[in-house]
Amino acid sequence: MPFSNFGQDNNSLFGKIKRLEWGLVLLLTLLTCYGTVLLYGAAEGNWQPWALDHITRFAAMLCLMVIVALIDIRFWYYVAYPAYAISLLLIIGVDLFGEISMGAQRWLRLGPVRLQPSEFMKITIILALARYYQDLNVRNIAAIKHHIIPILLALFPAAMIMKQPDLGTGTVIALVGAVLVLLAGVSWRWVAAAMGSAIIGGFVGFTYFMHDFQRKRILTFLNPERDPLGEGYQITQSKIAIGSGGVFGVGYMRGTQSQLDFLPERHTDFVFAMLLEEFGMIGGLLALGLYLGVIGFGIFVAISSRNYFGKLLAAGISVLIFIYVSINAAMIMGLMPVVGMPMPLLSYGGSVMLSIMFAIGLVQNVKVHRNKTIGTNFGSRQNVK
Amino acid sequence: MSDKEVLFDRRAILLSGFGGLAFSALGLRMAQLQIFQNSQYRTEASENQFNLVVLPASRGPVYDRFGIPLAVNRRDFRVTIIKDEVGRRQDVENTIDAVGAIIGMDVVSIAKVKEQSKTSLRFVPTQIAGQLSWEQYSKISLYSANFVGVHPEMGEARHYPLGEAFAHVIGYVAKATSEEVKLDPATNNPGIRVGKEGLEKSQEIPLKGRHGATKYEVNAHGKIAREVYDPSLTPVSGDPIVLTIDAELQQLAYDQFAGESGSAVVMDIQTGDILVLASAPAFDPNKFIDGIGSADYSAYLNNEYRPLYHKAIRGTYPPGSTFKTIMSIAALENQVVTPEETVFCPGSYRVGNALFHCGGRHGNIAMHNAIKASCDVYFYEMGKRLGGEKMAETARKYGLGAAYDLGIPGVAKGVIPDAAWKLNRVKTGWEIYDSINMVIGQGYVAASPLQLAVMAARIASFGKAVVPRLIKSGAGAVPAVPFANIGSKLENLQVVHGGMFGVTNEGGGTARADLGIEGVQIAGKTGTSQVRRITMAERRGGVRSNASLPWKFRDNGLFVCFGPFDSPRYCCAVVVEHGGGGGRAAAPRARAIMKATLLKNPGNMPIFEPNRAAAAASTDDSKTKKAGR
Repeated sequence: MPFSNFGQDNNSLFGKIKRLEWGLVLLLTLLTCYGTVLLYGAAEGNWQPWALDHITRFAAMLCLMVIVALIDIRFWYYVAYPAYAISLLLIIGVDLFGEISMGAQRWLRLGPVRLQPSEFMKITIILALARYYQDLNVRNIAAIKHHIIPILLALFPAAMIMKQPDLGTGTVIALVGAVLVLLAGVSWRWVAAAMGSAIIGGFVGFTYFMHDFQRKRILTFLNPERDPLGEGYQITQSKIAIGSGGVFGVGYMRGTQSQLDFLPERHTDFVFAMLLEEFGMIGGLLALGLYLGVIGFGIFVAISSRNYFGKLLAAGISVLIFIYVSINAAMIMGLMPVVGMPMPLLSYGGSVMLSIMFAIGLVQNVKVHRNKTIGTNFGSRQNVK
Repeated sequence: MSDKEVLFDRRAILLSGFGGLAFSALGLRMAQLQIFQNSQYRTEASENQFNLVVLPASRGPVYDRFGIPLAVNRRDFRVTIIKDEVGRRQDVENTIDAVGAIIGMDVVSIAKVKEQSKTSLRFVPTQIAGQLSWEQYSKISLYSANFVGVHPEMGEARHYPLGEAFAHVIGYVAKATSEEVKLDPATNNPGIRVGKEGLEKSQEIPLKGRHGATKYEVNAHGKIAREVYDPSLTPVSGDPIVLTIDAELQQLAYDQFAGESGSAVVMDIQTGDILVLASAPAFDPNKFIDGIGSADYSAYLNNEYRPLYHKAIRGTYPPGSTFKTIMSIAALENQVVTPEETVFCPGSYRVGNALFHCGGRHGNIAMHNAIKASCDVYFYEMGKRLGGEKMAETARKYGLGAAYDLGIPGVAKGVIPDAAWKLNRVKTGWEIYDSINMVIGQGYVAASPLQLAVMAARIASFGKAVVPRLIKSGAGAVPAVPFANIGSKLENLQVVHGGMFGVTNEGGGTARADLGIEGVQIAGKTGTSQVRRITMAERRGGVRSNASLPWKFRDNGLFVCFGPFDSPRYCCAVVVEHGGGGGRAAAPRARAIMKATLLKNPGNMPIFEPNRAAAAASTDDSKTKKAGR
């Protein structure tokens, strides 16, 4: 009975569990099972090395999600700024002490644990901005001066991550930040101005600040024949895989592009191309439909939350998932340059699943605590209604 | 709700709309790739996926009329290397060195293979060595397990068991040139040869069959994942071809020309079947199959006797006095003379200022004896009476001046001149001298030995338009149709037959000799055609004998004949290049060939019917076994 129990909040543990959005859990489980089926096929019908890992991780992450959801929303409100600060420090740490892997400096090794701080930043930026706007209580919210701090909060880590260089994650953080600022109510004039400067900035960045391989990627995207055996190869092979799938697909584990290694990274970033080859457009639309459901739930939770922190938190995470799905799908279909961007819950990979499930845990948290009022106890006079 | 919450909700719904649009765009892109461009990408996916390794088709065998193999495939053991499987360039060279050492190749050929391997394609096998003995093959088969990418293969190689005697008719196969590879990439395979000359060239398509391939599914790294069975890629053996030639007679005819340059054609006048089509000297076609050495090749090329040239169909010669046979028919048909009318031969014939000589002083002479003794003056008179057009008309009716489709390349058309031809070629009008030269088969007249045989066949058959055939069955065979009638009168032909009988059987004949078969006679006509001009000065001092002249200035000797005289069945034409007079150089050879033909009577023996399935499997193992012992 989602959304039907306004005003009767029972803040006992059982009441909270009852308020969890179990429809969302069902969607996530379906997506993960879909992913497990694909990974089982990618390993030529073996549970190793990916499928079993994938589904067990999901089970563990589901518990994490519930824990994240049940913790009082005010805790997340309190930790928003410290968490942001820690992620920012870690990103700077990567810059100074990071481990170089696959041509990019993204990992930080702390004893046995390898951390990818940019992954944390995707969530902490949302928490930080949500808290900022929760605290902000002004008459003219459209004025740009109220949005300068959040813009800086997003742009600084985005620029740092792009410099690593990880163009994909940097762009995601900048985009999530931009959408939250937009949702918070900045005037449309500034939105238009920002879009214009982003285009100009993109040009300038392309010409002066980009790494050679990034520039090459974009040129290759614009003309895949430029580098048919390198970067263009991935796009070309991915398009062949998708195009040959047709409406109904070539059949499970029958995709020649995927099974004969023509498709690069078919268990991670290009898993959706394998899905489109083997299950066709029908299978692809099914997956998109499931994602649409997940995102829709998030937006619905955002709109129905009665505290502003929760609204922005749920909306930001919906935007994050939307960006993941649309960038990955656009990339494998040759609509965007190749950037490292997995498909949530379909692609194999622990840290991505962790951040996605953590994020969805926050959405659930907003749902569970949607009637909670935040900020009245924290001394900011502006928040007193 | 506060203002900012209302604003948030409004914008959230608006942005959701944008998000929905973005997802629709993704769906549309999916539709574009998966519905509208589906077939294009499907093709690309299958091109990605398969690799074809050529399986050469078994080349169609060629037989003589009784099934004696003339061109066959024998087992060929060879060893090849696929560069892609070996990997690095240095490894390829080391492997070639090692393989060369095992089978005992010389340094030069190893270097040659290395050079070839640099330019050959990655997936296409490069031949290291072919025609291995059984010992070499077993050795390399044993060791090849230690060498990645080395493949001992058992294939087929073309072989011509009768070699030189059939070299010009069958031609030969050799490795494809780069132009030929462009037309058919399969010919790049080391096991495939293409026809370069003769029948092998003209019937290349039916003989080669259809090359097949083994289809391999390969992964993105080019490694073979599995073999795919595709029935449409099974090789189809080439068609067998049966010639009209009798190999035994052909060999006999070829052997007649030891040390001479010439050609012989024997035909069955009832069917037009060519029983012999020999040109000597010839080359060994087996030398060309794996590429002929430059020393051998230049020896062939520089030989004065032109062994590479198919004289029987390509060579054209002034027919000389053999032409008088049909000129007699022309005179009788056009009623410019009767068989009984005599012409006085004083030994020469004056036209205007020019004096035309005769081989003798024949006195009053009529047609029968004029043919028998080959009196030039009698025919000068006939030429004068007939004129060029009428002579040309009869010559064409009797098969000269036209090319025949034998199914092999290079059949010459020869020349039968008339006023229009002369105007076109020599730019002057027809003169009486031209008629006088033409009537004795000199001047511009030129005919191939094949055409002379056709002429003889048409005379012998009493005026049937016999057409020669070389291919009895299989690709390129022409259906046998009853021959049309030329329209010459029987009694006129009988006069000519009588004269030709006189040549070989009566006193005073230019080629009198007994055939040596009881009760069987042949009738013929000699011809001696000059290849140089005899000046008046030389004539006064005495014409030089042929023996004293350099070879290429000596006369060509010709002879046409048919037999048995009472019921003609076979005819023969022999040309000996620069061999001297026809009676001495050509007639004895023709007589030997005719004798063998008449004794064997191949026209009455059953024809070989190739069994297609058996033909495909037919390989001549004898040579390999010998080599392996």
